[in-house]
Amino acid sequence: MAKETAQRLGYEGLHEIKEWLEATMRFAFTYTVWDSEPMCTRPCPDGTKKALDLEGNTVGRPGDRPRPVSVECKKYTTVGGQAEGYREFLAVAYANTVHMTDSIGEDAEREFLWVTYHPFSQTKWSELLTVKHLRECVEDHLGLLDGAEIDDDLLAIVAQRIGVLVVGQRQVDIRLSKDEAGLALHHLRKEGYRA
Amino acid sequence: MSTFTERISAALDTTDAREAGHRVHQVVAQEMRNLDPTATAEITGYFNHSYVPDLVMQWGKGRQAFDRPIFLRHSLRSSRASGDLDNFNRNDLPAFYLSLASAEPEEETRQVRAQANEHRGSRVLVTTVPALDDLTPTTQRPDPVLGLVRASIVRNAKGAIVESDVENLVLPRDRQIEQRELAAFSETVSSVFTEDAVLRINRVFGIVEQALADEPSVEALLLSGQLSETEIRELVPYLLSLQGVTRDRDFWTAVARLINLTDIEQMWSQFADLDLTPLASAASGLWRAKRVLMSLRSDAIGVEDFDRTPRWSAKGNLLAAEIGDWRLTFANKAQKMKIANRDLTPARWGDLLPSLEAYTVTAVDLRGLQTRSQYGAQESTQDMKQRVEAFIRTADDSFHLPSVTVATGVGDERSEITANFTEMMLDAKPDSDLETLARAALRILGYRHPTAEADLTALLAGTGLPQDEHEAKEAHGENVSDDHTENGDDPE
Repeated sequence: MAKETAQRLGYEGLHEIKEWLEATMRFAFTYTVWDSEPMCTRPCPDGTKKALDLEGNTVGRPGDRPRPVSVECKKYTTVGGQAEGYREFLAVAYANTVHMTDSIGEDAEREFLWVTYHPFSQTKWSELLTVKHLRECVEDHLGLLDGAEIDDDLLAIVAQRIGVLVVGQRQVDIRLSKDEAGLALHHLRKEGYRA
Repeated sequence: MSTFTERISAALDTTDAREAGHRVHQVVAQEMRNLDPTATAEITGYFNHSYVPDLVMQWGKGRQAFDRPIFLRHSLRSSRASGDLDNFNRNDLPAFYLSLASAEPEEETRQVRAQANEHRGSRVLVTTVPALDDLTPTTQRPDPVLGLVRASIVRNAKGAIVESDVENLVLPRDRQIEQRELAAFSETVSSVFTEDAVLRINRVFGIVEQALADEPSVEALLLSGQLSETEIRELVPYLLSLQGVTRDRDFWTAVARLINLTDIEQMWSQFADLDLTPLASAASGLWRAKRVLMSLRSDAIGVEDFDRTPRWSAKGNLLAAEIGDWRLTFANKAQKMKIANRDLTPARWGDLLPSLEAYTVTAVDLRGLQTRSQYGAQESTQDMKQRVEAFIRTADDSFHLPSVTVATGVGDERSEITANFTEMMLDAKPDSDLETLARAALRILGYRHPTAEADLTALLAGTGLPQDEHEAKEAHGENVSDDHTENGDDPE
């Protein structure tokens, strides 16, 4: 965990991603890992606790139930160690879904987003979100499951909830301004959209 | 009782981020309403969002409506990373940024303070939960200056309120204020409140100071405008129940000028069980009402040792004066006072006439056995008494008067007051001051049961009865009520 923290984006970098994602009107993040590491930590069946960068939920249309969202942010200028990091991220996403379903008795439908400023694993790019790739990653980190069998149906469900977003600084910079996003969200709230 | 900091810490003590948000919103909304009960809090459901406030504080309706968004942040560092401090550059945002952290690094508070000092015109507020803790009253004893400071935080605070800034805003409760404390108070008030709040806080501070002075100086008070609802709530009940408060008429008149009868009616519950005499007597020439209901104090009739000291109080949601055996209840709008009686005994002209001597009678309603006539003057300055007298003398009928209308005052103060005997009600068009109405009610409506001029004088002066003289007259079997027509002032 100490190593993980040392590599983290700084406050400003995380908040930049937070604002960019929230300006899409689709997400609301309550904590950054700098605010509270425990609140951003995803537990796995073997007791491993993996701290991700942002904790929040989707902004639901009227009648929709907001779903929890975890985000890992990488503001890299090179590929760096993202390939291996992403594989662990996928394994944690699956293991955490298993753990939470077992512990609370229902699937909370948590989404997992990997947000990066630099693409990675480009030779395998088209496979990064497949069930097959997810299974490989889980198998690589099988210890997280603490002996539980891999469930193909759950693998397919979790794969649907993974997202990889590659952003450029320009893309972040052209997000809605605070006033514009505030105004848009004000009207969406009046229409019943809820975080 | 736990502190704001402790309640926030307890609310955040969960592993569920959404639950933490729900709980924190409730605690903050409650704290804001405690600080300013005139505000309502809308909880948006968003927690620590970049663009959507957590709460929107709201005041007033229509054109008077004012909103202030409150953004909750986990720390001043997080607030800075969110770009909140950049908004000090703007003078059009009333945003309120509240850090939930129980402690902040010194460097962060230094940066917030520096930004705020560079942009003193900004209405943005950055503060912390522990900083606001010190505003919690430590005793039950009311303190209107602290009350107004507390209430002003939510709507009117700006700049940086961090660390122990609030200590400078809380003056010693014994009001033994040292020059150093006063200077710190004034400086902090000026830097953390908007201009209008600074004026209001200084005004209440000045009034409280003068209220306890041996010789109050009205010139020292800032006496323009009207007191806000918050000022009235914090200040006026305090003054009315303050031990050793001045009875100086000029002081109370100055306070009464900052209030009107509507305020008393709207905030009546603040005045329940309080003796309003110092204030309302001083206001009797200032506050205006449209309707007066006159009723006998049934509990006083026939009880010799009943305390008949004339006094003012709030009865229900209306201002009332008790004088002799009568209670006068005033309403600033006719619809606020329902007609309680309809069939009381009309007046007899001959009996009533002496009470009308001082008035210009502009209309009468004459009800005879066979006819009913209404006499009204073309001009409101025309006195109809002689015409009515002549008509009654020549008519072959016996008349009662359900109502009579008299004119009082001149110029802008001119008002026509209709006394309705079957309802025991006065209606003034336009409204008239309490003194004129009280005098008209007692003289005209109460003509069968006259009130001593000394009682009326005492009611309007806010003084007790001249007991010695009063009791002496009673001891000699003199009817103290009979002298009112001889000593009565001309109401015009």
